Amino acid sequence: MSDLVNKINQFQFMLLISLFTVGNSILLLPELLYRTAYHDSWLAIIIGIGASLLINMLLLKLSQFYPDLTWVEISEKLLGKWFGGLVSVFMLFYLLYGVTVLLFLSGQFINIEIMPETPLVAFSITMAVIMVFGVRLGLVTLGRAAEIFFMLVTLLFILLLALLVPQMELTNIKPVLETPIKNIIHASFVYFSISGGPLVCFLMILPNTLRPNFKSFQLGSLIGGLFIFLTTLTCILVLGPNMQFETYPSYSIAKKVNVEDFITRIELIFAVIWFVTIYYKLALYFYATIKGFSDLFKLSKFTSISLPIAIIAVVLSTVIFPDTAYESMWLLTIYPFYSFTAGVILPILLLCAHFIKAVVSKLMVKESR
Amino acid sequence: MMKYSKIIISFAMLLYITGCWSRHELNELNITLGLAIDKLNGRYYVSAQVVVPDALVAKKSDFHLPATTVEASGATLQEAIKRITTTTSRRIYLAHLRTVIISEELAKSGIRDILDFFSRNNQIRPDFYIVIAKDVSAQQVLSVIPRIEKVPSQRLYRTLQNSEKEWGPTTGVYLDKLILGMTNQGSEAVLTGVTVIGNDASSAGSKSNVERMEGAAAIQLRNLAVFKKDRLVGWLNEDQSKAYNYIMNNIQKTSGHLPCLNSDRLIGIDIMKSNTHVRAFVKNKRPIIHIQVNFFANVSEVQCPMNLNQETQLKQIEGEAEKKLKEIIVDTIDEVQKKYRTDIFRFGHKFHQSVPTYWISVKDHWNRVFETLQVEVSVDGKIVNTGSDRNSVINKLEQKEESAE
Amino acid sequence: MLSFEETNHDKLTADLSTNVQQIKAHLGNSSDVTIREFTVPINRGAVIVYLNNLVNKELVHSIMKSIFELLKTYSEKNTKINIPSLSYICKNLLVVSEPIIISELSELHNAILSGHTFLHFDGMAEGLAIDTAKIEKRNVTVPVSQNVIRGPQEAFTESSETNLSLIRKKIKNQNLWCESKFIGDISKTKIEVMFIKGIADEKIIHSILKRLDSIKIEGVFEGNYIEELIQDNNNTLFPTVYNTERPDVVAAALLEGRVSIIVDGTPFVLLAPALFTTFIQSAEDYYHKDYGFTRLLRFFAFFITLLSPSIFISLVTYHQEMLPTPLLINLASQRESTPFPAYIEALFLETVFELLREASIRMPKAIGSPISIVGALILGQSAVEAGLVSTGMVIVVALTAISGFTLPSVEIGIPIRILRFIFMGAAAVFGFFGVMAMIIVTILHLCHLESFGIPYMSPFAPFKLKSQKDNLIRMPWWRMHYKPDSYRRQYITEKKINTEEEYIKHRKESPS
Repeated sequence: MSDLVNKINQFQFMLLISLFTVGNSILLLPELLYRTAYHDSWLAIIIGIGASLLINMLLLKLSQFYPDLTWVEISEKLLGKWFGGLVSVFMLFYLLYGVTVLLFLSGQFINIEIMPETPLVAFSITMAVIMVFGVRLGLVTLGRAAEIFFMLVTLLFILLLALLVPQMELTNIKPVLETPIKNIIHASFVYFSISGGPLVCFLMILPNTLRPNFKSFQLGSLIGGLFIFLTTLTCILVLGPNMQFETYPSYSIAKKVNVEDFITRIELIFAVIWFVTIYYKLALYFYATIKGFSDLFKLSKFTSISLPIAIIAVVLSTVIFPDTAYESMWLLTIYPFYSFTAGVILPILLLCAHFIKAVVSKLMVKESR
Repeated sequence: MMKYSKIIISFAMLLYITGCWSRHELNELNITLGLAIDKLNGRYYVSAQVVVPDALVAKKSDFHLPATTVEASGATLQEAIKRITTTTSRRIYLAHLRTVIISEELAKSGIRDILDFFSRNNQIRPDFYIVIAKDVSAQQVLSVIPRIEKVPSQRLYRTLQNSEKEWGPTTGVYLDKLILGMTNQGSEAVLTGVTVIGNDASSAGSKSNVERMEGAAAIQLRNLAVFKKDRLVGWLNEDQSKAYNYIMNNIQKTSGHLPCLNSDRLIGIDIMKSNTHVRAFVKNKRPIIHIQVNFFANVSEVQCPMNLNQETQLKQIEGEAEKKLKEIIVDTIDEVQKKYRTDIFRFGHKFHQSVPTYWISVKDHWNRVFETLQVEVSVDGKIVNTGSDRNSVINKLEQKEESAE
Repeated sequence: MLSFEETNHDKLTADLSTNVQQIKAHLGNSSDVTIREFTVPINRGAVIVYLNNLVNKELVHSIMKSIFELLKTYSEKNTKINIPSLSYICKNLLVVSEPIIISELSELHNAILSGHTFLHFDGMAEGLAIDTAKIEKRNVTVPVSQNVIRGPQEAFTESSETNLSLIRKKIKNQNLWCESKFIGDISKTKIEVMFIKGIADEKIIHSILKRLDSIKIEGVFEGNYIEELIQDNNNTLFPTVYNTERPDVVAAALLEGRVSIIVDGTPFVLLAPALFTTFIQSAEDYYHKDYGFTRLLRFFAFFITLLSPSIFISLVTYHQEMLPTPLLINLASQRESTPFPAYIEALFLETVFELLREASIRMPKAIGSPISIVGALILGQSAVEAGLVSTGMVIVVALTAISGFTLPSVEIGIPIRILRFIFMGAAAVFGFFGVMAMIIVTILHLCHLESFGIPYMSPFAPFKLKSQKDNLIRMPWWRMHYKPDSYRRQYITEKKINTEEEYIKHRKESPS
């Protein structure tokens, strides 16, 4: 008889956020950022973390006005049934897009680096199956498992960094600030779009958290950002200018681990890190999506649409990117704006609506006196 | 849960029926330890040295060839490698590659295609050496059966690894180091050279090579090859290779000699540790490189009578060593600047890192600037100890001779 | 004390012979039922019924004598009514446990079958049941399954009274309460629930008792029957109730706040709730100063036994670049002579090993050990020589088996064995990716489980720093000065669930 009814505690919430923030950014970002910001990517990440922390405050404020309501319910309450529904649908499609893209990208990584003969769909389907399994078990289970996985991820991460210290060359950072500021800002925007903006999906999860506070939210975001920062920094320091040739710099640096010719070729162990973080991002995106859809259509159990939406996501993932060139272009130019809209503009919209409503109701109270 | 059991079971069966796509059993793989690449008439000739596992693990006392070579040609490297499957029963597996040997002619005409292939292939890891075959064909280097190691590629790999640590002029170049040197603006690449020595090079690849005590064919590491962009433009000699390694801070241990003061005998110096700092700065609008070399050395042998207990003698040896090293380095840089005109020392990269504003203005014509670059070298050495013997045996002998007369 | 429900509510009659006939008819003239009619003062018929082998005959004899004397003195004192009421007899009969007055046939059956003696006087519609049980039982011996090098060597026996006494010997505290129940419609097995009031969580006690009450089964012969019927979640292979043969383990568990369930007829006592770490811990951790080193080793062995075949399969089949080159060449040379792919080999060897394991349980002790050693060695060696399997695989399977035996509880070995095959299948299809996916699925499943309301993976998740002192490592006794609270529920002030019904409803409705 669990007295913890469907709610995760603050510590688990923080861990979920950090695992989510890391997500697939560790795989994707070092290369993407290097294209615009070169070896000043680490600066871009710091700026991105700062921006993400600011936006988090926005989200948390919004949730504090309506503590037990999810995003869908808030928008319905504030903006009315039809317009609110429209806003919710936009958000839900953003989240569904997130699931789809992630399914594709994670499969692509394994396909390119580890098992080239397997069709990408196989990985997408497997990931989708375990994602549905995890989400159907509930948020509390995901939260508890996050504690175990986070420990594993942290240990492996520290091991990776420690083993790479002999191969780091500090001069690879130089010259600092060589890239124009415009590029650095662009790169931080890209960071925000992949790790910061999507945090809006936590507005679906906040009602299920016990007494969420700023500390856990921000700390989680910070820890996740720290992981990405350290990874990118290590990539720059170890690989140097060779980074431009690698599609997955974090995997390349894992390949470089070599202690006395004995501890070598252990990159697959570090692939565990990315697998776990990608899984958590997938699971949380998916949870938010189906919870949102079930709230929107007033379903009694949100697990009833889990399988259909998962299948839709898998099928979509085979068609979203026609080729890799389109994929890079999309991630660098289109997705940041999409994320910004869903992650920043929509919450601001709701907050404005909330304030307007508050002001209007005050005025009406004054008038009725 | 029970409702989904049918779905779960059918899904599980599907997985097995459709097949595991990436499954490669160990006996379907040709584990390739070495590649030799040659180019003739526009076609790439690739020889892959694959292990014969049974022979390597053989407990029987007869000698079985532990590796064998399979070869094919193709318009591109990938084609050549795939065409090898027409001659062998298994697919080529490149993840355990140890050495890649490129022939000199191919190097002279440009190795960019090879590098591109290696970068894209997902099996290739950055931990193998690339060498240039000098005076012989790449395939010949691969075929010399070693006496101590089992597989030639493995032997070449370990020779490079060990020699790097012990002997100054040698340096092994991994794939990523090569790409780093070659593709960056403001730096150029070098590669180690390899050749085959021995009386009877033609029978190097057969069992008879192993069965004799002396004169058997063996490989030997030669000096460094200088590249301009991706073409081979020349070779450094032994001293120049050593100087190069000093500048690039690659020296771990090495040995050298100095002339004795009063005779034409020699003193042997053993460098135990060496550090080099290269600084780039601009003075009066002129680019200057300052190289600071610090080394710790021991005296390994003394061929003339010297009393090493006296500090002045040690200081003298130190001074001589520093002078000689500085000479070698300055000469090498001079020669590379004048003769080859390629910045193999990565000075341009240093300027990029330290004075980016200046670098922007010169990076397009860096090679010309490099020709007239002013380089200051300062060497600081310290003789740490003189081996187990404080005083010189020869010294004593000479004294004995003198007193005997 | 004797409380059951039966549909048979036939009553005893006042007539002796009718009663005797009824009893004979119900008990079926079994040869071990003794029905002895005799006369007591004054000239009154009486019958005594008991089961031969369940009673202490001397006690019966002395009861008959005492009845005789009692009635005699009574009839001398009261001439009008020459037989006292049954309650008078109850109060004045000199036997240790008070006789019970029974009037229904079902109660009579229960009494006789528990070793009581039934006494009935002609003319009274009720009878007396007096406790005279003396049941054959095994002596207290060395534990069979959970052996330790240093520590108590007593084990429970099949008699629940002995077991109770063994526990009482260890904990001489007035708060050690026990409640008994009779479970099993036909077998009516006696179950004792023991707990330390004040340390064990009230809700857990309550829910265990409630669940025991709701069991509907015909017979209970081992703890597992009950275990499967009271556990939280039935969709899992993992055990959520621990069982042990050792009184010291039970005593320590009671001090931690757990509840023990003693089942009559089996020496294995159940302990609820049980968490994942419970199955990795052993009593011996507390008897040696290794501070948890062997616990860590066992934890490590858990992973080895679960994952080694699958990781080996995936490395050899999919990810050959992860192996160091000399090892790869060795394995390749072994593979040259074997016809089957790695997965089939692993499957074959694991199956053979499971067969060996099953066989060794049933082998007579005399030929057991030489056959198993010789069998394993020869089997492995011959299989390699015949070219059926490769040496590397034999070593991996042997390592797996050995690690499996280090785990102190056999219960956790069962899900591990089954999961191992699933992991091997996943590795064969998807390589390391498949193994990773299965690991995630397993960990999620484990985190989902609850044992009587406590998350199964405490104290790993939800993480409690204080509880880590006794989790994977064992801090020295002089550092453990707090009360472990892994087995107590965490009380959250929002939406508490108060009753079992609410809980069942809640779990049915929401998946989390």
